[in-house]
Parts: sequence; C-alpha cells; structure tokens
Amino acid sequence: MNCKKARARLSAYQDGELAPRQAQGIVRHLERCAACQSELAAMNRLLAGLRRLTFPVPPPGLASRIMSGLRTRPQGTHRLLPSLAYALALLAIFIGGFLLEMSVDGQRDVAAQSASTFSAVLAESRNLGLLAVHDSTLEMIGGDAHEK
Amino acid sequence: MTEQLPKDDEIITAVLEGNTREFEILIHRYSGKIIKFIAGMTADRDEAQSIAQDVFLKIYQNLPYYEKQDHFSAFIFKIAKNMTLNWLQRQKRTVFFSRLLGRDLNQIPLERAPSRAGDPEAAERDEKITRSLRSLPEEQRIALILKVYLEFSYKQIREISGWSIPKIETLISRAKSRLKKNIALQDKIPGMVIEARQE
Repeated sequence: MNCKKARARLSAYQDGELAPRQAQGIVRHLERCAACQSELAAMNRLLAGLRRLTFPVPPPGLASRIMSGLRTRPQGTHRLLPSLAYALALLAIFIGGFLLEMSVDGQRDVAAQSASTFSAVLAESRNLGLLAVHDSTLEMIGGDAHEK
Repeated sequence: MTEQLPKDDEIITAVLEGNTREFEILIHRYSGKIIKFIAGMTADRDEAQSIAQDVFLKIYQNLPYYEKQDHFSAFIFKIAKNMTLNWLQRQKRTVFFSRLLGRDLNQIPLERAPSRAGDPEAAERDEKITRSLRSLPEEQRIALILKVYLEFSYKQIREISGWSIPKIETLISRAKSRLKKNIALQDKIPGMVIEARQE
C-alpha cells in the first residue's frame, strides 16, 4: 500500500471501521512510513481535542415539559393529509373551472340565441317593409338568422 | 437484584397502547444525546434545548410509523437531524433577509458562546471547537458529530442519514482534514473568526 491509498483510509482506520484485512494493510504501511505515522498522530490529537468539548445537559424539567404536551395517545401526523388536501384543492380547481366554462358557454348560447331571435325579427320587419336594415347590420347581429 | 430496564420497543408498544407516561423513560434515555447532537450542529446551547423539546414531540407524534425492525436510535436521530437542518435553514433565511434589509448581522444571534463562565480556559476551548465545527459544511458536520460525539458506527450513520458507507467515510475524513487546518489557523491567529464554508 502506498501513502496515497493509506491516507485515503486513515480516517476510517482511526474510527475502527476497516475490515481486519484492510486495517492490517494500514498497520503494515504505518510501520515503514514516518509521514503517515505523523499524520495519524495529528488526527489522534485532533480527535482528543474535539472530545474535550463539553455539551449542555438536559435542563431539569425538560421531561415534564415535554410530557405535559402529550396527553393523548400518539395519532401520527397524518402523512396522507397534505397529499389529500392537494388532491382536493386540484379537484376543486378542476370542478370550478369546469362550472365556469359551462356558465360562460351557457351565457354564450343564450346571447347567440337572443341575437339570432333579434336578427330574425329585424329581417322579418325589413321584409315587411317596416324597417330599413342594412345587410351588414343583420350579419353583425346574427349571421345565421339573416341567412335564413 | 436490579430491575431490568425496559427495552425501547417495549416502551413504544406500551405508549402506543395508551400508556403515555412510559414515553418519559425514552426522554430520559435519549435527551442528553439529542441535545448533544443539536448543540453540535447549531452551536447554540439554549436553542438546542428548545429544539430538543420539539424533537421529542415529533418523535411522539410519529411513533405509529416506527417499524420495529429498525433501530429506534436511528429513527429518533433522523427526526432530530431533519428538524435541526430546518432550524438551520430558517437561520440562513433570517440572515439573508437581514442582509436584504441592511440590518447589522452582528445583532442576529447566529452563534452564542458556550456558557462556561466559571472556567474561562474551557470556555475559550469550547468556543474554538464549536466555531470550527460550525465552519464545516452541514453533511460533514452531521457525519462527524454522529461519529465523534455520539459514537455511532458508519452503519448506524447510514441508517440515520441514508448516505452510503463510502460517502460517510469521505465526509468524516474531509471533516477531520478541514478541522485540522481550521484549528491550526485559529492557533496561529487567536480570536480570528474562521469561516471556511466554501471549499
């Protein structure tokens, strides 16, 4: 094993995470490489330093504070609820859009029907000589009625 | 003859059957480790206790989803990791918007000094290590804290993080190299804030 390979596994070796055979390879390399020995010693110093860090301990009353918030049996956080909410929202948008479209179409039909009736009345009045209505006006109001 | 303590899975079964008080045993069993992890990640001792409280509430809510073939410690540290990362994200957003608003960043308590008023030397040492840990990228910090301070094996870290073993090995190795450089730099220039988040 050369230095490059040994250095790449040195941290795992230090952590005791190498398989026995791999660890043996590192040991053999360390026996004849002062530079890698020095690197391992530096890593050991670092680890010893890191382990001197002190951490806060759980404050008194932490457990009772947590327990006071747990009065019922755990029900889970309903993981499906957010997805269900999204699905319902999408469905509502879809139905809303559909109804709106129907409503617009309906209005369009009513408007077209009204225009057609009005156009027919105008055409009839013109035919009877009661009104002077230009063709373009009839076309504008309702082409279908005029054609009829 | 000492009474044998109930196993995690036995406690969970009891809690799920409605014996809520049993959950307190889990709190006593794991709160120290959870606070250690969060304090290492956030460098904020006060906030660590507050986040830990929320973590336990979340663990409780999620107990019905715990599958007994998994390790309970992996289950709870997954939750602790996610909630801590969320907290860190919120902190970053606060800093970002404060910058946008032109507020003085020094007013934002991103890091609080460890409370070791009685021992200035230990406080200084703690601060140096905390600062160095804080300078690590998040993934490296998670892997290193789980290994060095919680003494989890790479396999257990894989269960918590979902990362592969080679990735965990690389993260820890890089974290150690970076910390060596950081601490050496801090020794050379005392009091200097080392921010080496970008590789």
